[in-house]
Amino acid sequence: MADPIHAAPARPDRDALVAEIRRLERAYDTGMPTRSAPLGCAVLADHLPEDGLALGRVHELVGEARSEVRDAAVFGFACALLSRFGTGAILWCARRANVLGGAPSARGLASLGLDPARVIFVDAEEEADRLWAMEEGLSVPGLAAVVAELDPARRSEATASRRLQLAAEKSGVTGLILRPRLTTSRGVGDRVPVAVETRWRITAAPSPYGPHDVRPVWDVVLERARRGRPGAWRLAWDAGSAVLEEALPCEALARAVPQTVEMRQTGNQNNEEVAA
Amino acid sequence: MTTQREYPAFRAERGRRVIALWLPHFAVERHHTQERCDADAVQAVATRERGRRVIAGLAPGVAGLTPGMALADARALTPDLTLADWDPAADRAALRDLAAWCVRYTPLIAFDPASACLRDGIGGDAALWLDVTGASHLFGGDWEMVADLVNRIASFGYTARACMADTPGIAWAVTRTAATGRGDVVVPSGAGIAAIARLPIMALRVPAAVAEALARSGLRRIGDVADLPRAPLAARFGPDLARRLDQAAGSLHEPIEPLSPPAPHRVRLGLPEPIGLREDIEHGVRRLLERLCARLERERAGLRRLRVDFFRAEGDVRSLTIGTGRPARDPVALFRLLAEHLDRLDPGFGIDVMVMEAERVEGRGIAQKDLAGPTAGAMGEGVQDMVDRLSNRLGEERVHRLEPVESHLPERAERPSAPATASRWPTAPAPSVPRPARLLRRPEPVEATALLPDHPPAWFRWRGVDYRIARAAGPERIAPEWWEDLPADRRRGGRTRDYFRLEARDGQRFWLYREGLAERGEAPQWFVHGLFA
Repeated sequence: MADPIHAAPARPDRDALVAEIRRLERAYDTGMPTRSAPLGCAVLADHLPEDGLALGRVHELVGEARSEVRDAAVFGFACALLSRFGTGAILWCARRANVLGGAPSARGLASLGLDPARVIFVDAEEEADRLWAMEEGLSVPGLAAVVAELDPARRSEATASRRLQLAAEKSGVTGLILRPRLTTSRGVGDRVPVAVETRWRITAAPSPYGPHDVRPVWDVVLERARRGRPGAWRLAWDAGSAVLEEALPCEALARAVPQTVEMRQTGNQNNEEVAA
Repeated sequence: MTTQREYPAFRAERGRRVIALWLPHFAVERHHTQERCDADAVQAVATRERGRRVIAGLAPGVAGLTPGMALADARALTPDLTLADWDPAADRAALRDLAAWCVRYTPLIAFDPASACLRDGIGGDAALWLDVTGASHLFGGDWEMVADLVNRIASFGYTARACMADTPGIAWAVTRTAATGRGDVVVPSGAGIAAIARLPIMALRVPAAVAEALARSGLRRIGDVADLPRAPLAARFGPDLARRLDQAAGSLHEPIEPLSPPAPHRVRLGLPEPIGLREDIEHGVRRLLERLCARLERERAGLRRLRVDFFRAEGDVRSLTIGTGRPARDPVALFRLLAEHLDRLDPGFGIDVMVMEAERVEGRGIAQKDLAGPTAGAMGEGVQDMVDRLSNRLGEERVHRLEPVESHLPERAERPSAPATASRWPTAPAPSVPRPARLLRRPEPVEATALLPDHPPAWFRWRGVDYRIARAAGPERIAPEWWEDLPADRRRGGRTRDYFRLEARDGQRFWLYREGLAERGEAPQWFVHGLFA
């Protein structure tokens, strides 16, 4: 019996729904069309909207827990991203006197494919000063990007990160927040609602390549991505061609290439490991 | 004595106006104001001269005593004389503050070397020169300016006498000797030496011996000698008399050496009423900035350092200074930099004068094009303003770039440089010799085990953590820079280093080196120097 009142409502088509969700999601947008920097990596592009990292937004790169020694991996991944953000000046709000983890080295930046002449460093001991400097930088459209090394996320930081995000949207400058992971007695505590476009977790990974291959290899976890999908990869960064690519898994490499003992490779150690 | 530069007579400017300010009871009154005691608490200050105590300075209205009188004699005349010790250093400091305060009238201010505290002599007075040429209209006229000066100084607790005249000589003579009860006197422009003709010779600042010699000849007043031919006067009474006469008459220039050379880029805002509200102060600063920047605009120049002096009603001065990385003349950007500091400004009972001065001015022509193409990271206008804001708040040394240094040693191969100078780094990185992303301030010694003396370590312990090495590359030998003259404690860094890139089993990458050559019988020392990404 055809009851026109109780008939199923016309199903909105999928595209219209997606468009509506996008509209709701971006209700706060200042109207600037979202541009994105392609990362030159097909596996990542699938997980990110517009196939790249959104420009004019704040992204968060989280390292490992409480270890400045291990932050070098985050640092390297940040440089890899920055080298794909155009050629303008970059403001880098660094922790002052980061004695344990060392200071950023210009030749190291160059080795990662980032021209050191582009980087203006600001050293500030207080996190409040670094946040302030980052917000100042994010309001200058002449910059390519602003990087800030921050402390582990705290509850009180939701507002600060929101301010940063709004500043970035207004000026179109991309922000990168580098921070170690927070661990508390209740476990990993970086589930603080921080208003960032994407959050990545970076850890150094063993390189599957030969000992003289200089490409850094990281385990990259995309923990959250607005309008994207989370994912996890093992990526290698080729500074020469500015390409992020999936590193061959160690096992695959071991099968594909017979174990060669290089003169400088510590062969005995590896053998022990295999025996164990 | 002021440094006497003999200028030709034609250098004496027309229209010059000078104020001589004399504080006859400065030493005692300075004691009263700074110790915050009653005006008659101390009647005199005493000092020691040639083994006896003498009166160095007196309070106003102490009759019968004179400075220089022995204390014993003074006590005999006035048994209940209250005394304090004379402190010439404090007097000098107070006089300097007063001179700084007088900048509200003119930037050309000098100490009168006749002041007691400056010559460390008896008298207890102090004096200043103010060259106010062309400034009196700002205060409504000559009389108003002198009256304002005397009244304001009186409100600080000092007895002041001031005289404005065409030459320092006339002004000085009138302040010291005028019989009028008034502290403020103006000798009209063009009056010449006739204005002081009736004053005694001593008022010409000639040595006492000369004055006595003249008195013996019956020449007691300035008018007696003013018209005499100079040559016989100089021959008989020495050159001082003739010079002082010419200086007073204006035919010989008497320079006033200002305490601080006047900055040509200086604007001043006098306020009818003291202001204390933040908005009012901001408004004043904006107006000054507009005037200063308009002037810089005309001169096609920009300022690198800007100082603003706020003269508070209490009688002291608060200053703010900002610097810019590049010559700037945009009032809006400069105001933003100043606004940062205005929070810390305490207006006290109010600010009545603001003086803004560009302390460093540089030409700002057309930016030169780079022959080799645009430099990477070259700064746009907005970036420069941001750098200025950052360095003004956090400190100039906190904002920097890195510039390359010709050195093989990694720790010396780069140094911080000013953010405005984008240095040129080799653009193509050499991927065959990678450098660590982060470099330790100084290499840290580690405990390491290598299988053979010239092999990379298979294991090392750093800061209490063990690392097993899965992957190693090297060595890269970095030789010492023997041509560098290192201090003795740095010589050790001058040994050969063999660098290895190491990867621990979990993927962490390090830059380690072995110091010295691997030789038999010597345990090699290993250092960690950097962290790879």
